[in-house]
Amino acid sequence: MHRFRNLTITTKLTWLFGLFAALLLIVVGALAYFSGRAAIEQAVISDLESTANEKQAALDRWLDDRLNLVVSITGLPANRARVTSLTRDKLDDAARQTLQAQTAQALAGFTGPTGTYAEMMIVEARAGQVIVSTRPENQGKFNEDRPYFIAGLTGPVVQNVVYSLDARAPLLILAAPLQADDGRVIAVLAARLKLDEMNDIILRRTGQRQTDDAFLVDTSHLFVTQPRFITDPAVLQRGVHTDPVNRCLAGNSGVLAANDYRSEPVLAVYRWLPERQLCLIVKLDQAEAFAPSNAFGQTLAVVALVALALASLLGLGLARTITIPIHALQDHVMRFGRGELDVRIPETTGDEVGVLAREFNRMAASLADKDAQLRDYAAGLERRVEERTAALGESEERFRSLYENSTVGIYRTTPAGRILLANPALVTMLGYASFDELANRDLEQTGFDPAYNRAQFVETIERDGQINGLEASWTRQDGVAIIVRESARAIRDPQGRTLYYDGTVIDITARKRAEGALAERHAVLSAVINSPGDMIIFSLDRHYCYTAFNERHRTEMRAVWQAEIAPGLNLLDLMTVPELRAGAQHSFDRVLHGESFTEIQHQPGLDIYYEFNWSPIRQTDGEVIGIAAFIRDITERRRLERERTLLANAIAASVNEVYLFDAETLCFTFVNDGALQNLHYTLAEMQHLTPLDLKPEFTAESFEQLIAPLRSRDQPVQVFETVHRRADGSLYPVEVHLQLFEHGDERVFLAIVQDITVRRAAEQEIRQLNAELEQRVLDRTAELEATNKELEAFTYSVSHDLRAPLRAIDGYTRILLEDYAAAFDDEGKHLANIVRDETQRMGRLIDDLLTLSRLTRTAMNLAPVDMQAMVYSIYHQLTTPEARARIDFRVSALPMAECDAILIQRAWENLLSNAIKFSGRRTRAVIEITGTATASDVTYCVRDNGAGFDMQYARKLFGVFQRLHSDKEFDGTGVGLAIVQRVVHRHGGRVWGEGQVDTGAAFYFALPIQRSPND
Amino acid sequence: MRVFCSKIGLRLRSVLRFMRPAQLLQRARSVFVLMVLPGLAACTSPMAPSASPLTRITVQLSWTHQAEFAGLYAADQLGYFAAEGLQVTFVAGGPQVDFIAPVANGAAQFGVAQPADLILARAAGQPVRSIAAIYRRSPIAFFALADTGITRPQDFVGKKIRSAVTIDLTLRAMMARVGVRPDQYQIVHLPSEVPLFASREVPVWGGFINVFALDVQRAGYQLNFIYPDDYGIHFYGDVLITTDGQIAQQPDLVLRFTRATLKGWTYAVENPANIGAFVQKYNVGADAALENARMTASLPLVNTGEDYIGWMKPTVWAGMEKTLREQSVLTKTVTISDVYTLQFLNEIYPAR
Repeated sequence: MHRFRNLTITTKLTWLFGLFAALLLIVVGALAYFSGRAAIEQAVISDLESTANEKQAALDRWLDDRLNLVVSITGLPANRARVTSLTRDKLDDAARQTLQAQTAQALAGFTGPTGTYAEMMIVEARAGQVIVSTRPENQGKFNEDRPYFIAGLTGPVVQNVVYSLDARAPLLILAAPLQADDGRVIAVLAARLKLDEMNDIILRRTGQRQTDDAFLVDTSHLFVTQPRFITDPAVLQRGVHTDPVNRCLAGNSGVLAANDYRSEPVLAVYRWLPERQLCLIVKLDQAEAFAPSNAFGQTLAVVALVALALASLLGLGLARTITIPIHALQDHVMRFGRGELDVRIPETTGDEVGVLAREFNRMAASLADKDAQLRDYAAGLERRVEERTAALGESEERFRSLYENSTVGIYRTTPAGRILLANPALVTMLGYASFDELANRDLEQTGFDPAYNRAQFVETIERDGQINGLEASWTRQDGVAIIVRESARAIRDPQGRTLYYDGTVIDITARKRAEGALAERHAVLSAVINSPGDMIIFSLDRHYCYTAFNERHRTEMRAVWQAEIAPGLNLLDLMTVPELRAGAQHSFDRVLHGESFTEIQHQPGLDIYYEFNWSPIRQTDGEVIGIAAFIRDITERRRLERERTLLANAIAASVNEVYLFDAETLCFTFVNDGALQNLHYTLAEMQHLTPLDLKPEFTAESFEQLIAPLRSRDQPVQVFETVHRRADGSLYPVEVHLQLFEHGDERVFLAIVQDITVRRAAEQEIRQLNAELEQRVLDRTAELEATNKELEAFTYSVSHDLRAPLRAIDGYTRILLEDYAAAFDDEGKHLANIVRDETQRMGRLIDDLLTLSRLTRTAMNLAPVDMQAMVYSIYHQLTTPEARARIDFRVSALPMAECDAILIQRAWENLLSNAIKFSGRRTRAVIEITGTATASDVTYCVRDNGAGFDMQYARKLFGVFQRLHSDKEFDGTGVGLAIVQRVVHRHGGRVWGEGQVDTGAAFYFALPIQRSPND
Repeated sequence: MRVFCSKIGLRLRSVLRFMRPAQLLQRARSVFVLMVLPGLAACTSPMAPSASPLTRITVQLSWTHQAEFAGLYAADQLGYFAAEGLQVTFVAGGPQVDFIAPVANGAAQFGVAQPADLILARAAGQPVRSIAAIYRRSPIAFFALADTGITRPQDFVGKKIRSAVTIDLTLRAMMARVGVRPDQYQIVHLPSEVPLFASREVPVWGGFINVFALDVQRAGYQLNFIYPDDYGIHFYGDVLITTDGQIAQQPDLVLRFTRATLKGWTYAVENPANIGAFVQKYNVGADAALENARMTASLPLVNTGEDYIGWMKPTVWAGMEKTLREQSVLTKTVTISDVYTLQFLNEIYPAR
């Protein structure tokens, strides 16, 4: 924008004209171009549409022609006669072959390179066998499942392109029924078309276009005709998934601009041919379709450019008429600016430019007047400057005298380090005889301060413009070191370039030496009070103000009181808690009265103990002038002392006997009160005794043997039981823990001894009780086993013995019914039948009871069992095919189990038959068998959707003769679940059930995983 | 948190006494650490990914990894399964593997099986069912050297015919269909080795056109093929199977699996030259060129030009059952419409 403002008016006007023209041309041109392009697109689409129409029609015509020909061939009487004979007559092989050859010969006229079809076949209607083919190798094959044959039996048909396994090629087959004279269909005449012809029809081009293309696609997205731009065989071998094909195969027809199988942008017309189940695509590259619109666009662009150039020329001419008078005005103004003050502009016109010229002339006259006044003023000024210069000479003389006689050194150097000026004071200070001698020294090369080089100096002064009070140690010409304070500043010209440095130097050597001595003493004090790192040290004057303190104190004050201490600050002012401040002042005042003392302070919150050492600071005449404080944390020391006392008391008071005896002499060095009381010795007596005096069971040798491994450190502790002898000679049993204990170079044995008189007595009692108990268990077990055996034997014999009379009752009742039927009326027969039913039920009951008792007696034979196989086989044994049709029997993968196969089969039988039985009333019974394995057991579940049961009777389920349903509902003996439980219990497993009335039941059993002995 | 901090501050101040800052500092530091660390831990604990997880399924294959399962591989490698929300694990089969049992007992949700095995398993009560046919024509063919002049089953009379357990049924059924009695030819079981074929000891060989027949052709021999399909024996080859339970409980999962698998097969049919590289993803030792050739040889089995890839016809299933019964392989009753379902194919290929 800014740049535009600086352009000349001519350029500006020309640009504006040009831009306006360009905008107009772009809008009009774009409108023209897009409407042209739309018209062209419409034309191309209708062109493609008509091509598609034409191809569709051509395809239909071609197929109709070919099909009509097939139909007419079926009507040829000679053919019909031969085929009738071939299908109906009993012919010998020779006659059949002759007939076949004749028929093939007749059909051959329509096939071959010059014929209409690739192959013709006659397929007999009954079995679908090819009885005649123009290709002999196909004769004898069965085509009974081919669509053309099935449809061809009822009427003329076109079978879509399919892939032939034996021809290894796509085929298009037409077929029509062949009827005998009686009207019956005896065969199907089939003709295989030449796919090249269809290709030609679809690909036939008008010749007007370059990139037009058309093809057919089947429902599997595969090419059915060869597209133009694919050279490899593509029919039924290449797929195409472009947008137009996808839309077309969804059953639509339309137009789409999209990419084709080459990924080229095309305009495509797609058409779904429902009769053929094929998709027809006709397309043209967009590049070609829109070529005319591109040419039109180019023409438009050229016209627009020419128009633009003309508009720009027009703009230029218009601008010129405005700018010529302005240029004349500009020329005069420039001349005036160069000094031609008498220039005047001819005031020719009355427009804006004329007004401007008049105003300019007036201004020029006024300027010439002002110029004359200025010249006078300048002459006066020159005179006054001369007067001032004379006064300055006098002033300079005064400054020179100051410079020559000053005791302060004054200098001027160049930034490069050359000395321009140095007053006599400076020359003497630096040990030179004359200025000339000093001036020879190059400061850049050899400065006065070896520790502070010139570059640093220059950098600082260039940055800040000056240096103030720089203290430095300088080496004089004669090698003597002096301490100076130097100030300097840079003198710069108006452009900011440094001309030279002016500076002053004062010798402060004497003053510095006095300061040094004081600092040294201070450093010594500071080192002394800071050296004990764990100690807090400070001193105050009579007004409680700091005179000295160590670092430790400073950090403490900072942390506790948030105070930054310094010499002179009043300590009491810093303590903001009134009670603490009062306490501190009390201590301070005691010291100020000349008292030295120590106090212990306890910090209950942190459990810390401090030891404060207070002492007064006295002058040589003894007057107290301050307070010295030394403070130490003694928490740890106190803790150790307390622990030691506690430990000693605990040992002394222990009921256990604790002894220490010397490792060499074996004399007791310590004996606790517990021991003294038990032994009835005094401590003094004990000190003359050794362990051998207490332990009558040991000799000196055997005791030495006992403690040898402790001495050699082979064993940390010896634990043994023995007896101790009291002072009165009585004995008591003890347990001794003996260990060697070293403390520095002291070696002692520590013996902790427990009087075990009471324990011994208790142990003896327990042993006795155990022995009695064991005997009682043995007696009771034997009793139980005997009873059990008797019971089993009883059950078995009773069951067994019951069967005989039962059979007799059954038999006699049958005889009654069969032989004495006449003697009974209907009621009598009915009752007799009930007797029979009940005896049979009783028989089943006894069988089950026998099974149950046998389960308890037979030996277990454990082996891995494939439960899944077992379940399937039992299910099939238990069910009829009709039952299986009713039952949805689901078995998940069941884990194997280690169990007795015969026993476990019994369990499964009962569970499965229950499930089948109780789900019998469902129209769709579901029985589900599942199994899970954990590390410890495998659990199986049989679930059904049958009658179920009420959970409140769950405990009764597994009892013998426990039935939750009446016999009328479900038949059974009530022993099944008892058998299951017996089997599972014999495996050491668990069994339980879950159920809900009318919803179903689930029975679970868990078998422990049997560990083989070497596990 | 703020309340807690101010409480800590009060307690700190109450214990502040004359001196002893080091312990205070240490305490304060440990309190600070205690307060801050759980916060840090909470901040750095990884966020669970929010994308919905893929459903894991297992597919039991009927043989070792090879081009026979090209469509499954394509669906896996090209993300068709993932796009349907599935993550698929393939379990290879082999000569000793019963590949219907894992599907029946739930170890695999889907499997690839032969129709004859499937019909027999169904007749034995296993609740398995086919959901799509991959090889819509049997890969079994009989072939002889071109110079023997053997071109039709009738030419087998009086000759030795090489067969295998998987081929016997087809051979017997085809011979019966053209009226040749079992005593008119001799079946021999030989391993499929090219030198044995070349020895001319056995003139007619039965084999898979995409496996052994391909090996023989690749060895340079000119062959005549006799296809059982031309003599009334129309068997499907590989079919996809699952269980009745799976279909009843997760019909959507079955649909998604079938759709992705058939999309994979469509890709395989259109790009047979890319299949070898896919096979190598599962079987590193596979010969890519050989697998490509196997895929190419399988094309007419998968893509017959009729109907759609994967499509099944009730008439073909009925025909297979009939053949099994005629050959006395199937003796139990079975309702053939229970062996397959068109439910999913009908959903994937809606009628136009």
